Amino acid sequence: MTGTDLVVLQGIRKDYPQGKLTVPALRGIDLTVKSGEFTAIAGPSGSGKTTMLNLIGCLDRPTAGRILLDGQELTSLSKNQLAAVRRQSIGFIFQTFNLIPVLTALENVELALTLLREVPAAEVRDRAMKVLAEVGLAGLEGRRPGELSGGQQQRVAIARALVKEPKVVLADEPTANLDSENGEAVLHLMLEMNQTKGTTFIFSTHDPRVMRHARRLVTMRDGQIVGDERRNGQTAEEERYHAAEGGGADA
Amino acid sequence: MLEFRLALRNLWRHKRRTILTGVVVAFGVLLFSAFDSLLLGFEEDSLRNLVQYESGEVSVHARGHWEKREELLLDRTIPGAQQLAGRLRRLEGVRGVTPQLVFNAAVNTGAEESPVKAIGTDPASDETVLNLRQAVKAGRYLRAGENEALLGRELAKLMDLKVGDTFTLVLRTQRTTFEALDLEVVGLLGSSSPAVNQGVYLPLDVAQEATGLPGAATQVLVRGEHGFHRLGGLPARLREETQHIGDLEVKTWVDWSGDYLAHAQADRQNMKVILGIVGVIAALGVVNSVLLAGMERSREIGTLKALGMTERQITRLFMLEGMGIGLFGGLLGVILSLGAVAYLTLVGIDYSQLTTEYDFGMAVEGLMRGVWNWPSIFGAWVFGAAFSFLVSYWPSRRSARLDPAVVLRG
Amino acid sequence: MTYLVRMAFRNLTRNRLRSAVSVLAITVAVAVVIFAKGFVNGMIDTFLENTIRFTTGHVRIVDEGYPKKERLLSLAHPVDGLKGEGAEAFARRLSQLPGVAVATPRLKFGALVSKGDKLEGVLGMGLDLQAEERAAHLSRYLHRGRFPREGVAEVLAGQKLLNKLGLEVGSKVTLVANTSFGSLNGRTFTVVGSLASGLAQLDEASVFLPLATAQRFVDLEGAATEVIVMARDSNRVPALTREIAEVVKSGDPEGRYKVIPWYQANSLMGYMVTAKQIYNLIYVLIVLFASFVVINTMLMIVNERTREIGMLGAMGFTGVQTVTLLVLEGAILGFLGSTIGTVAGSVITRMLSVTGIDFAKAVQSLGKELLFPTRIYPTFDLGIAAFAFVLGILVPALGTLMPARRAQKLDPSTALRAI
Repeated sequence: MTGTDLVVLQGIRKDYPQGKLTVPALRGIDLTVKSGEFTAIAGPSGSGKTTMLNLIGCLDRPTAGRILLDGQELTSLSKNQLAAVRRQSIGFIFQTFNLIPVLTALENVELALTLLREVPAAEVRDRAMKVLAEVGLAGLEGRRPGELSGGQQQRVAIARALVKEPKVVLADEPTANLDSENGEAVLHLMLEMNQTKGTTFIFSTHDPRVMRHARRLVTMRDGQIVGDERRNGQTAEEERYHAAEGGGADA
Repeated sequence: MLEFRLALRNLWRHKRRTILTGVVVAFGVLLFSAFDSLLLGFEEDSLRNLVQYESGEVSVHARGHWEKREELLLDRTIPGAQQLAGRLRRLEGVRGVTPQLVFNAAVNTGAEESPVKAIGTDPASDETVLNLRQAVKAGRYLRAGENEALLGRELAKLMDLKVGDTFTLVLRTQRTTFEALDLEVVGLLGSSSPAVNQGVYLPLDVAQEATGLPGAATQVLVRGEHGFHRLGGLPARLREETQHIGDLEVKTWVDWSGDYLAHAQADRQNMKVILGIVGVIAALGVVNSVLLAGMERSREIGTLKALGMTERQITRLFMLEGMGIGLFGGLLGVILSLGAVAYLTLVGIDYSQLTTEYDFGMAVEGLMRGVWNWPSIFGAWVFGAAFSFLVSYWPSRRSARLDPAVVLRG
Repeated sequence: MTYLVRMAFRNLTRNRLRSAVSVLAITVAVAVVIFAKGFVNGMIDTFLENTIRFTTGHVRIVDEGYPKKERLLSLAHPVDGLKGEGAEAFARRLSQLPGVAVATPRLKFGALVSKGDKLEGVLGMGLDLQAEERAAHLSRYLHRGRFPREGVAEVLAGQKLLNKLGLEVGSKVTLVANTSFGSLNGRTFTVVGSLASGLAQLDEASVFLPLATAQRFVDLEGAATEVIVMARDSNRVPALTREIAEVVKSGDPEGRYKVIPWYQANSLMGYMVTAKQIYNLIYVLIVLFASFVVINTMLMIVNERTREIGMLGAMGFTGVQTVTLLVLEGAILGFLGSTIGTVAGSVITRMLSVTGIDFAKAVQSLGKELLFPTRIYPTFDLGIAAFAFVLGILVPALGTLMPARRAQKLDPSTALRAI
């Protein structure tokens, strides 16, 4: 299932200036994520989860250390090159969904493909429709974000992240703004995509019910990794089974 | 395409802002179109009056006369003007030629006297060059050899003269002795040219005899076959033809129009100052709108960056929004301009009250009319849009440079 | 109220760039208004003043038939007072009225000035030079020499006219004019002084001589073409016109004379007064456009602070207090912009009111009888500065009412739920 080293972080430090002080957000992180992994980053708020995801997602640069994405060194890239990496290789899912409010669900998904500029215009619509159907939104393509529920909006966001078939999908607290039912559903959807398409997911959470779905659980505290455990075996079917039973592997 | 759609929908989402800012752009376009229409209309009317009533299309003078033509002296005239006119008439591309004798005089009614510009005109040929006949509003046109005159209507009003009255024209002969000539008013002239309305016209031969200059003219006016905007080689041919005849010079209506064009130029300067002020305020409005849009949508900018949009693309996105304001405002301006220019062309601005009391140095009397100048109306629209696009650069660039890690967190 | 002001100030510093753009817009508009109003007033007021001093007076008394023939400088419609008392006695009688600063007869006639073979048509003005110090105030413009004396053949002439004729102060010059009987009269005068006023009519085409000299020259003893009256208080001209009309009517039952206040002298004077009103509207428009920037910003502020406004409501803020807070914010932006703009506009206008702006090119094609100066000195006074300053605060504050009303309508519970 898992393969090559997709994301490699070596000795990553990140300081934020705050007035005259510099506040360390990450204090030396080493982490390797293999392709096809379904990894949760857990930890209390302020532990550095979001900062780490932003660094992997090329939205920010580390103060020290190296980041490799699929063997490519990210730390030396220019702004435009970083934008290209985000465009081609990374899908984002946010806590607050962050859909473009003036675009329809379909257009939001198309936007990711259009920016890629590699897909012929005629194909863009077909692929976007297909992915929207896969996330269970067939028939709602023409709605704007304001006309969709939170769960539906996050599905659109997942479709937007997946439509370009990125190397890795980064999700920052994807279920935090959803009720538990919708949260579960969204997580199942992500897991299913991981199983069927082999997409690598890294997501942050501080919700124990979400953590239990992870194949790998990295725990952070005060800008450092304090735990990293891998769990095997459960397929999507088993997962659904457990969910239906109302019990979990660990709570 | 997607960028246009995004810009348009975001503008629509903030209708109030778009409208408020667009109104200023619209006002700028309206101001420009109305001014331009009026100035151009005025310029055309001025030139038409000049060519139809005063200068002809091309004119021949004794050297030195043209420069001092406004002094209306008789010290530099063309002898044998009819023969010269005859020769010029045979030239290719010439439609009409007429000699004129223009000089200082005074109209005296016994009780009162007024200095005037007197024009000796040749009834046999003047209609081939000038439009004087159409300007006759009462009575009839002049006959050669008769002691009679046509008076401009303003002059007639001032001097209380009617058709059938007689008056004395006091003039100085070439030898600077005074001469009094009794003339009968046979008609009144009325046109949109103040020069016509204030002038005295008499038969050329009568004028020549009275001034002691038989056969002479101060100027020979020529009209070409293709209209005054297409003179082509006519002035050159006239120069060539006249260079062996004596000390003559050839001028075109363009030379004559210098004063009027300077007038229009000054008006254009004033317009630019006013437009500049509106432009600065419109620019501030557009900059503010685009800046606010960026501040409001900072999270969206973070998302677009996460999706891989480059700073350049995001800058363009917001500049398009600025341009959208210009396009909308410009459209509103064009619609308003249609109304304003229609009014100016159909009704015009009546200032006859002022011109009869004062001399504003204008070549058109009574009514200022606009013209339709489509390229400039739509040009103003395009300019408004381009202007808005360009001034949006700074706020757009500022928005595009927002740090995604910061704005996505906020 | 003070806490509202403090809150408004703090709110505006939350996004300084945004506030700065609003302030800048008002600054520009207010500065432009001060300059434009100064310029336009400078132009119109100078024109009106020149015309009043040299042509129309505050009030002018002429023969009924004169206005129509004035362009001819006709002598057929003179003023010789009530019951033939003479123009001077008539002027003295009018001077007795309490509102009159000075009343003086003028005799205008057309003349030709010749020097060798050069000939120029000019306006001859017979004036009571002493009384005119309080009307035309010619001594301001005396360029060379002195004023002509009575009883001798002396004239004062425009400097440019002298240049044109190749004359100088001290030269002899011959004037030819039609007398009131229609005969020609010629006489040689000594030019004892010259004028340079910047007004084409005076500098290029006028000669001035004592009234008595002029009366003898054109055979109009005891009469003048007009009597002009300058008021003590220029705002009381309408009342003064009525008083003068009363006096005139009592001694002129058949109504030979017309009493004309300056604003009815001709349509141009009326237009000028209307033009000033129209310009005032334009100034308001300029500030309004700049206020759109403030309104847009306030609209955004209301959107952005929906939650906060809801919270204030929950804490017991009344709708009026919310509106007051937001209008205060708009007014503060206006106040800052207006202050900077007033200072900047005042400094610029004050400087230009001393140096003046050259307009020689624009006025050269106008007729000489239009008393437009070749240099325009913008007026700067506290009235203009105050006008622009108040406009710059009032218009944006009123403009902010629209977004503020929107905030007032917000219901605290819904507002709090908004993201």
